[in-house]
Amino acid sequence: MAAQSKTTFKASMIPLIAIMTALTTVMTMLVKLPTPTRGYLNLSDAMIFFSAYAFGPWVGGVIGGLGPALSDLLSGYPQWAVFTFIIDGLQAVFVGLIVRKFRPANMIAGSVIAGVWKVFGYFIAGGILSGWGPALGEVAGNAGQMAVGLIIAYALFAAVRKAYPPLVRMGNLGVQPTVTIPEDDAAASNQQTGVSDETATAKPDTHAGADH
Amino acid sequence: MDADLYVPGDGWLHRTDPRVKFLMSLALLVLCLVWRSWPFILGVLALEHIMLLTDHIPWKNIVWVWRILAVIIALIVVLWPIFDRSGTHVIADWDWLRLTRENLVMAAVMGLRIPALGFACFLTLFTTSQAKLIRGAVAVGMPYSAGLTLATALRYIPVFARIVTQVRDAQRARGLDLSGEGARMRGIRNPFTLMLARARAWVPVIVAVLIRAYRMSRSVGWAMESRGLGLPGVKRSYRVRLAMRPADWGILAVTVALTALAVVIMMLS
Amino acid sequence: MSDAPIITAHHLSWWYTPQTDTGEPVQALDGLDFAIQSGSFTGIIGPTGAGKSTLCMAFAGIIPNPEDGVMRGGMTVAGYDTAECTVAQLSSAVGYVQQDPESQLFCASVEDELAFPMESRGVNPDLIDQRIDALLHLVGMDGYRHRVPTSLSGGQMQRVAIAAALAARPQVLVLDEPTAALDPEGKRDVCAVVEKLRAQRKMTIIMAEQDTDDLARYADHIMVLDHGSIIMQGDASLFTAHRDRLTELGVALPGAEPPTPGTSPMPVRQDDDESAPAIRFQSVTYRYAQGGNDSAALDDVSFTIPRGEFVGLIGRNGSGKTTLARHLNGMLHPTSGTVTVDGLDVSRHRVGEMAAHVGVAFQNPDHQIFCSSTRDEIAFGPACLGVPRDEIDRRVDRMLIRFGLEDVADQSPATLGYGQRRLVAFASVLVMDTPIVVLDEPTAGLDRRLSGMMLDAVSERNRQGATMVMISHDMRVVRERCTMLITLDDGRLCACGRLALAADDPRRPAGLTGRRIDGR
Ligand SMILES: Nc1ncnc2c1ncn2[C@@H]1O[C@H](COP(=O)(O)OP(=O)(O)OP(=O)(O)O)[C@@H](O)[C@H]1O
Ligand SMILES: Nc1ncnc2c1ncn2[C@@H]1O[C@H](COP(=O)(O)OP(=O)(O)OP(=O)(O)O)[C@@H](O)[C@H]1O
Ligand SMILES: [Mg+2]
Ligand SMILES: [Mg+2]
Repeated sequence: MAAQSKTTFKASMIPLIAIMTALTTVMTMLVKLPTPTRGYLNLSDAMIFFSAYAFGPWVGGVIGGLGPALSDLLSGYPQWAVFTFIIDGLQAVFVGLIVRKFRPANMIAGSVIAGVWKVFGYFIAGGILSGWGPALGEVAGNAGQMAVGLIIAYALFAAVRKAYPPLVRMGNLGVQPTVTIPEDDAAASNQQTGVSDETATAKPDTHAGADH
Repeated sequence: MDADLYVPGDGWLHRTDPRVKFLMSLALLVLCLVWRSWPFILGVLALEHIMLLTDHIPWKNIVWVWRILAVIIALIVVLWPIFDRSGTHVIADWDWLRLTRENLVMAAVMGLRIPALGFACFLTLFTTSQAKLIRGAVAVGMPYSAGLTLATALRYIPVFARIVTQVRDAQRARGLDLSGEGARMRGIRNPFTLMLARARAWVPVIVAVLIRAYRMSRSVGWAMESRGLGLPGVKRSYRVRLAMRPADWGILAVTVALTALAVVIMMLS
Repeated sequence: MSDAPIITAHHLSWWYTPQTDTGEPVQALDGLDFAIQSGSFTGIIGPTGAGKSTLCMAFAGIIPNPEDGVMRGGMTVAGYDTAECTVAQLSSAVGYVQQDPESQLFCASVEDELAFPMESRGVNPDLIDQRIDALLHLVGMDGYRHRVPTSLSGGQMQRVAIAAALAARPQVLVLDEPTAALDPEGKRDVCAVVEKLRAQRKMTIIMAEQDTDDLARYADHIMVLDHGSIIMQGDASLFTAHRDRLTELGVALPGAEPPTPGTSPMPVRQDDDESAPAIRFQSVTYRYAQGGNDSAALDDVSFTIPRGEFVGLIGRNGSGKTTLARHLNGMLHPTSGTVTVDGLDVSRHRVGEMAAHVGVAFQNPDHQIFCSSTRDEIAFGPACLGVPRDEIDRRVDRMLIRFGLEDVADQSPATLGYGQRRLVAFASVLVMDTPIVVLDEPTAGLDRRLSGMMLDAVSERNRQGATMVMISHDMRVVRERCTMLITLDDGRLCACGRLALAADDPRRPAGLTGRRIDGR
């Protein structure tokens, strides 16, 4: 998936971003887990982390920001939408930039930084919108939701990576296979049909610009 | 679940050019954020309600907004005095809580500001159809690809609401337990673990949905391209055309004037 | 109609990038050579996984460009070399209609849907408006201009998709199984539209299809694919000439759709306890809370299904079949009335509990596949029901062999082809050994071989005494397999009774003698 020539890059990104955003919005609005402490807990964080892992910082950033922002818009908190877009979006961007290996240490580092950013960001936004005092009340809730979201995201990513590798090939954690695949492919097909190498190598350079 | 807040109708706001409505909402948002005075906030709230009602937005939509925001408003009004101990006209003073006329007024203002901000956005959201919304956004400089992305996302929200329920049903039909009963029966009591168990139960659902979503996004991409998206060297045309009618110019002028007035008064006071 | 072919392929081969990180590239097209005359109607047939969709994607230029893989040889369509130009450029020559309507209507309203192709070509807005009406008229959808695509029936969606593909006035129209999920009526609508197009616009039409009787009627050029290569082509006469070869491939042979079988009223039997009915609906009404149309999806439906029956549940698209099926294991609770299944009042039990009594196989396999190996996928259900480990393994192995999935047992099911995904999803429900099994259109979009395999497995379970409820649009299957028939018409029950069977028919209702097998 990451292996796409620049011409097809944009056209194929639009629906991916749009549909994953829609999915994130639905997950945020539909999947409500009742919590003992603070009413409902949604899965937005799980989706934010997941999209950062799966689609890399930039695409993941847009999805992670737009999805929750839309759900704010639709569920009656439009004034929050812009803040949500920026905060959650950057949260995904940070995760995407920092988490480059599918290793606990690396993922924890990235996630903690992103987490701190998020709690901080929502505190500021809350301060602007509803005053600093009330904003403080939210901090604990956000932190808790993040912790759960992180665990789910990790489980999700591990499962998807095993179940359907193409989905995560765009992100940092899935890059290794994609980069190697065009070569394998050309090679494999060469063995099957002894075609001259220049046609075989023709594909990889249309695959240029794998990095977003 | 429907992704459209649009209330079909033909009121004056419905007919107003989306770009003008954007400006209106923006002006109100900014003013409400910078100016914390209770007469102003009340004035704005009244104005917003008048605008929506004269546009024949039914009461039930307006009540819907209030109902959603009620909790937060209450929360803010209650919490505000606890953190804000300022003010000279002390009404009551325990060591942990100090009620003064000033901080009570401010609590009311902060509480009312939430709906004021909300309705500022709903002025546009209730009265602008998705197509017009996107079209307007593109007209004020949002790149078309962004507009298309947004429109497509909105379009697929109900689709995925349905798919998620279908997938959830399919998994429950195989005995997957999402209600947490099972975990509780297994004697898990700690609320956090219990909640985690419930959240984890969703993983099979979400994985299946994600795969479906990815497949769908591929073929939607093909559909878009085979409908000529990104055709090189073509300037895109738009079916929905935006034209500023005299009325729109009028409303624009009024908006600007009122905003200016508000700013001046704010400066003086 | 010029003699120069409008489409030519020379040694066209295609390998998909492997979906698993370690897998081999999948060869889906193998050295195709063919030419398609302008103005002809070409039918592409072949078993599931033969490469029909892949070939359609090649016509539209999706192969080689946006799709990942390697192409050898080449194809020219209306003068374009598909390898050189983008899908967008090619789209002014080729209109492409995919199999799944949900994923190709992406706008908020029908008119936007049709405007999109013209907008992206910079057509003047006034012209767009006129053309939209013309297109809607062409596909017989006048008056649907402002509808939301998601609110349309499958057949209507397909017709809108066709209209959208025609908006750019292409010379070629490519349709990939346009009627797979449609009821006979919807099929007829779509075929009628396609015929009209040929008559009025002299278009070149290419249609991949599973059921062949429309092709036999309309097509003047048939290509039979198997394992990515053309094994025979010619005009419709090859259906008669190569009957046996095609049958052994699993391709359905043309033959008029049999009429809906008649029913005779059920023999009234006083239900004493040991043979309590498998399923009983008592004046069940169901309304969907939001969305849908305001008429009830199920309207005062009452019937009784004795144990061991093989029930066919038929009706037009949107008549409420799936809604009824979702009542059987408590996914939906009736707005009024009671549903009793396997002696249990469904609304009193959680879906998780009902799962031990009723297995429901949904139509779309992707709605349940999520595990990282086929084995786990099939084992998931019994594991949730708490079946002991060794028992699970025994059952899973039985299923893997039954459906010929041994060699993909450890592969991730999501990366399998459509046919195999269907089998996996189906096996993962059958493996739960429930006394009642519900199948939502089990054979749709599958070739005869695979659907036969499924149906045999179902019949076998039925002979062992399990009660089967099968939703289907395929009267042939219903006539062959069912013992009982329930017909819905927009939410109302319009027929319910024993299928009128030939006297010598081996199927006698197993329920009267059949021993019920235990779900736990
Ligand atoms: N994205 C993909 N990656 C890898 N292999 C694929 C991919 N899509 C299809 N295949 C494989 O290519 C072969 C041809 O698939 P294709 O969908 O063209 O068959 P089909 O004739 O359309 O089947 P159906 O009758 O189910 O539509 C199948 O073996 C399938 O497993
Ligand atoms: N989730 C839903 N929300 C609202 N309405 C729905 C929903 N699902 C189905 N409907 C409506 O209920 C009616 C029956 O739908 P159902 O899916 O049961 O029909 P069906 O017989 O299964 O059709 P098909 O043959 O196409 O599968 C339709 O009018 C449909 O629009
Ligand atoms: Mg196909
Ligand atoms: Mg159905």
